[in-house]
Amino acid sequence: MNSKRNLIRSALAGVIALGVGSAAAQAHDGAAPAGKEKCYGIAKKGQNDCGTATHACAGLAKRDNQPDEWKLVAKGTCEKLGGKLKAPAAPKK
Amino acid sequence: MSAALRALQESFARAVLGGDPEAIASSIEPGGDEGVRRLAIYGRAVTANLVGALRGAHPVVVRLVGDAYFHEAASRFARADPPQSGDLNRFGDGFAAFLEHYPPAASMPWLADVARLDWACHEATMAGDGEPLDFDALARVPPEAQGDLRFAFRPSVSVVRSSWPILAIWEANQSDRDGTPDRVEGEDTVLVWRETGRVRAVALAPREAAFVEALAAGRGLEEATGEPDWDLPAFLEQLASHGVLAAFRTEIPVGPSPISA
Repeated sequence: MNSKRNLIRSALAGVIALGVGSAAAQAHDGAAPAGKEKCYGIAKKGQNDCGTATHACAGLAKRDNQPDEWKLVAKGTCEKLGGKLKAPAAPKK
Repeated sequence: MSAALRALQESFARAVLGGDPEAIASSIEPGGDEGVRRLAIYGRAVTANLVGALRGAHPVVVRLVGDAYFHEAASRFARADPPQSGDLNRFGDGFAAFLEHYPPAASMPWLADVARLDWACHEATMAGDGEPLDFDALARVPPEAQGDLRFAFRPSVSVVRSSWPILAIWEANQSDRDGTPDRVEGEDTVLVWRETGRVRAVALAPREAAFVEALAAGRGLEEATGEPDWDLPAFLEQLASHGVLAAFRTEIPVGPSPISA
């Protein structure tokens, strides 16, 4: 139990340390403190281009200049996936 | 609302969304074919709007199945489960569940989960900012109360669990990729949230996923941590620094800030 307490204590200490000097950045849309982001390697292609331009979404103005360019498939994409995934009924070409 | 008006509105909805223009033909002036024809045009415009909303919210599904396929599936969904809100951005909540039981999609068992991921991202773009984590208040939590801390997440945060490598599929079908996933195996649990205006989606390790889900269920930090054999500090720091964590509460009241009181 003690090791768990210590783990939690050190986790919180790390989080609290993050807050020092970055409270202002956090207050605005949860911005990561500058220089933090690169540590994670989880960001890879992790952002979404959410093509919401097809419908009126005034609230998304900052995303709206993304052209709605999701192309006609690539019908092969599905089959390619179907062939590679363990899909039971995927047609094998 | 008078019964007559309600009946009129219901038959109008049936005519427009149910593809049954005859339902209201007798109420349209000048009546007859001309009115029905005009109403059919209106009905197609409504369907096109609804399909467009679904398309915007499910870009990866669109790319996976193609435009014609998507249009057909989305039209059927729109007729079967028309919007309950006047806000088109809110329309599409049930589309993933619809795809799960959509016979033509049976050969793509991962499709519904990819749609869930698309939808989580769509919702993340629209969610409010919520309260940021109050680091100062956190620093004032006495040690004995730390295990009891209950963290909340920002409104944009959600978790999508799948038996399929949905994140690899989703990433491979972003606009700058050719659709070939990096992996074809895996059961992805994906954390979705918005950070500085962008939607992020990352795969969680099993322990991380269990931790996030336990916090989301309102469990205290100690309980959510489980066995202390994983790197909680690193993960909690990631959650905090990327704006995933929001307010917290604790059973023991936290004293006022010495500065702002």
